Amino acid sequence: MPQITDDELLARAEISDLLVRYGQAQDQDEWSLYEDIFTQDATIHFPGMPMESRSAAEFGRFLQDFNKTRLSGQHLIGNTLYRFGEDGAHAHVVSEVVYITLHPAETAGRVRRVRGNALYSDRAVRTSEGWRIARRDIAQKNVEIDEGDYDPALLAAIESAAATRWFDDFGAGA
Amino acid sequence: MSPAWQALRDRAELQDCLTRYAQGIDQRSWPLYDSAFHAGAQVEVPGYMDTGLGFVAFREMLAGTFDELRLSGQHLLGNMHAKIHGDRARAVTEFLATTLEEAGGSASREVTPGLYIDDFRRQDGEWRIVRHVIVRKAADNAALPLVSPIADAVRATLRTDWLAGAASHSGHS
Repeated sequence: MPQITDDELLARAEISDLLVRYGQAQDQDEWSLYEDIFTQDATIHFPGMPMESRSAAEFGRFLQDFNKTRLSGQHLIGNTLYRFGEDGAHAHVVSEVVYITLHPAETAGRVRRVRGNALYSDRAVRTSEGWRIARRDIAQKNVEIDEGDYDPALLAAIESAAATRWFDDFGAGA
Repeated sequence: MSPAWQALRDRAELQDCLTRYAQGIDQRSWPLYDSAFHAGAQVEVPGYMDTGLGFVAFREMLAGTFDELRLSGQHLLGNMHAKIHGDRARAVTEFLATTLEEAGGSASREVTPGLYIDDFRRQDGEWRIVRHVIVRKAADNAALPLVSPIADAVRATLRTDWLAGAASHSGHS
């Protein structure tokens, strides 16, 4: 396997940051993080799913509305594979994703859990503002939905944490 | 060193620090756990342990009452978003913890997705944690039939020091 060049290492770090920003934007409701991930004309696709492809901006608004229905969520991204084009300005990036979202159930004190495994296939391009994702395909591998009882204290802690802005008190002057 | 390389190095060191914390707990390598913290660092668990506990007292709790039941554990780290200002940093990191507990001949498995919020300081050129907050996003517990050969394999490697003999490249004990 050829050695990774310094330029490629920096590009990997920058693209990895895009993946992290996407996950954290969604999971911590920090939508300012979503703004610098995609190109202006980026699109999101859901192969095999009964969902129409849409622009990244439109999908961002969909996710923000979806988040209002959930208690918490986590998208854990790993095993990212990078393949760079010879021009050094294009990359195909494939990542595994494990996710869980927690929603209130109809019965008080119970929650509905959606757990799954998915894959992100991203086409990234180097722009004048840095690397951006131009196309994302989200492939589902597994989805499990069930309900369970939750201790009220734990539920309260989860709701409180979900409403916390974790970077608000960390500024350059803090 | 260019700013880009310095930022890359800082992030790698923050990730390495958090990895020492996770591996320290999961492999019961307490010196490795200790090497993630600066003296006086605090640990908080909202909804469970709201008043901060010193990292040494937290370690004693993990190595004591927790380990009486814990058979094995894994804290998988992902998605770290970090902000760095000079010698201070804050990182928000997703984790997925799986813990296997055994008591009275029965076993259970708890899966907890959550978030670590860490404040780091760089002192004497080394990044370490000064405040570690553990936020839980869910907690699912299920009884588990602990059958051989998996159970035997888990028990067989519990006390293995996987880093024994490895070069101390980072200087951490």
